Amino acid sequence: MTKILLADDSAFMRKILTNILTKKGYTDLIEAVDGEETVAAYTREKPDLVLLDIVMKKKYGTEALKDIMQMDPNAKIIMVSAVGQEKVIEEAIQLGAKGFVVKPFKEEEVLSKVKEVLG
Amino acid sequence: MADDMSEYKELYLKEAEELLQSLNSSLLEFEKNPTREDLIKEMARCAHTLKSNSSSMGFEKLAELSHSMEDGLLMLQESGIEASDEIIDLLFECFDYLEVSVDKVSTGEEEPDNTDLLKKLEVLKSTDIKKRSKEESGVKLAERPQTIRRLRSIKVDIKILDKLVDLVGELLTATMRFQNLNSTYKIKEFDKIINQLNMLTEDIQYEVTEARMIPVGQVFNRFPRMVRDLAKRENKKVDFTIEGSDIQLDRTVLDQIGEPLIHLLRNSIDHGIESPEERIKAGKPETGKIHLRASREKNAVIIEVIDDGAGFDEDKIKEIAIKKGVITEEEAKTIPKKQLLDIPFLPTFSTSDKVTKVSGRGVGLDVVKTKIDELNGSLKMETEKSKGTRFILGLPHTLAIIKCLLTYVGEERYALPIIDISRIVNIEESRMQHIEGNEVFILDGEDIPLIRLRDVFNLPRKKDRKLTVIITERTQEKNGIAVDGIIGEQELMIKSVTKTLKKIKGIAGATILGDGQPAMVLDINGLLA
Repeated sequence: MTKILLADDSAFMRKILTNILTKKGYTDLIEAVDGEETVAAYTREKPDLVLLDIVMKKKYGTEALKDIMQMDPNAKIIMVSAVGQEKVIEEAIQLGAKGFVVKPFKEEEVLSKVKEVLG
Repeated sequence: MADDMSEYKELYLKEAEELLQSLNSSLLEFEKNPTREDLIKEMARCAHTLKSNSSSMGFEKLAELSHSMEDGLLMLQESGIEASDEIIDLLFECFDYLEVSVDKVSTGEEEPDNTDLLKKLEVLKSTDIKKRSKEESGVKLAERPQTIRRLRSIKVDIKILDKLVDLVGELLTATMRFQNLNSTYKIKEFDKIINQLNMLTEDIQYEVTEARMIPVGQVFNRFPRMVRDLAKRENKKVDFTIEGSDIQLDRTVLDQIGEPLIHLLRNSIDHGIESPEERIKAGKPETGKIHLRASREKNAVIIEVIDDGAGFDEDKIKEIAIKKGVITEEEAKTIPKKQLLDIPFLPTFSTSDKVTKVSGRGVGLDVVKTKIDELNGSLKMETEKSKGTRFILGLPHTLAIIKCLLTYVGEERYALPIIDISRIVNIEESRMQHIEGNEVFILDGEDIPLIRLRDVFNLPRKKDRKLTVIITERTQEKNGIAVDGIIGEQELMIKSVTKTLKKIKGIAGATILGDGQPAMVLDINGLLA
């Protein structure tokens, strides 16, 4: 079963993402509420996919992205953020993110990106 | 609010409150230490999360302002300078705006205007932040907001209010039983206490009922946008107006009228208002009108949806009703208009031939009717071909405890909601006439149909010369209900009944009377159906 890590400091966002994913049968979900927790959860759980917010407490999502990629160069990470500038998106892709979804998002945007990255 | 996001609103509000709290305490701390980068970062994070959550919810102004605030904070962080009083004041102003806006959207109101504040932020950001000192203030700032506000209202979980209503109901019953007991034992000293208890219970009941009241505007104000979008999709021009937003309804009732009202509005846009071309051809202004109005009437709240569209075509209703076997061709010739206009509320009825995205294939009006019946409300329609349609919804303004007229039939007692009763009369049996199988009597020149509760409950008729008849009136429709006798008025707490009992038409619920015995509460609409 596909295990997905939802990293977002907002419970509201995690809930929306959870609903979108469970409806499509992705029910093995874990959550992290800040950057440090994200890295720890990744190390511990080895999820198949991470949906990663950028602006979070303790460690920004971009920092967490760096850490995870260093640990596991094959990690599948999709950034989900309201920071939508080209510069940030480019940086994230360069750091190894497999995709970028800008908030506010539509259900289909998230799902198609998830499908695409999981392959 | 954005489509389908209502289920997330509670979570959004809870988190917004947390974010504002963190923003406020960081800001207060920052005022004392205007160089601390960690505080700027935390404020920016709060503004950022609030922005992304608000835009997901469709609260655009909130999103816009928190976005601009976040940008300002990031610029401040980059510049590395000490924030001036001016900047801190502006941050407080932003916080105030966000707090007020979240409060507004929590009750379904519009977000306040943010243009002035956005301008101030832009001015501040466009000037070199480093050069700004306390003296050269290019922006006029509002008075420093009070950071400690007196709490005038608190949030209470609706479940607690429901529980309170239950308890008040129990209290009512207990008080009544006490009073009943004392009418047997007649202890004088108790009379005064019973009186006082009665008054106190009434007061508590009033306050609890009031606490549950919410202005209908909370449901209404999501409609302008919806009407606009739907009209656009249907290529129709609609001028939508609202009246009586401040009329209050019980939370439980209000929660349940949103959907029925959407159905009615959709019906008006889809089937009522004609296309601009058709309207011009018919000599009407090309923009149609839809008016949504709430008003108070005795113990009821009336909500009307009025349009100046095509109206229902009576011949078409007849034609379809015959086709669907609702009435025969013979009946169609003589059916009174009032009865004819009830037909569109029957399941699977539609006079529109086309199926549209908006109101589908006639599924709609019957759903509205069912929902309103459940609420013990009434639904009527007035329509005139090519002039327009008016839907009239009558709603009890509270559900749980209602004033009832207690009557008896045989050995059983039955309660009738006072809201429906206009008067009580004694009428001689000899005045009863039979018209088309219905019993009717004439009162003040009006034909009033009679329903005998003895017939309804299969009891033999009494041989009295005179009948006690309760005249009920709902949306201008009168009926007479014959009972054996009247006991009196009482505030009763309605308990819902089991499914089996619910199937019996004419029973709205049950209640426990002062002597501890149960009584049925009658649903007048159900009796008449």
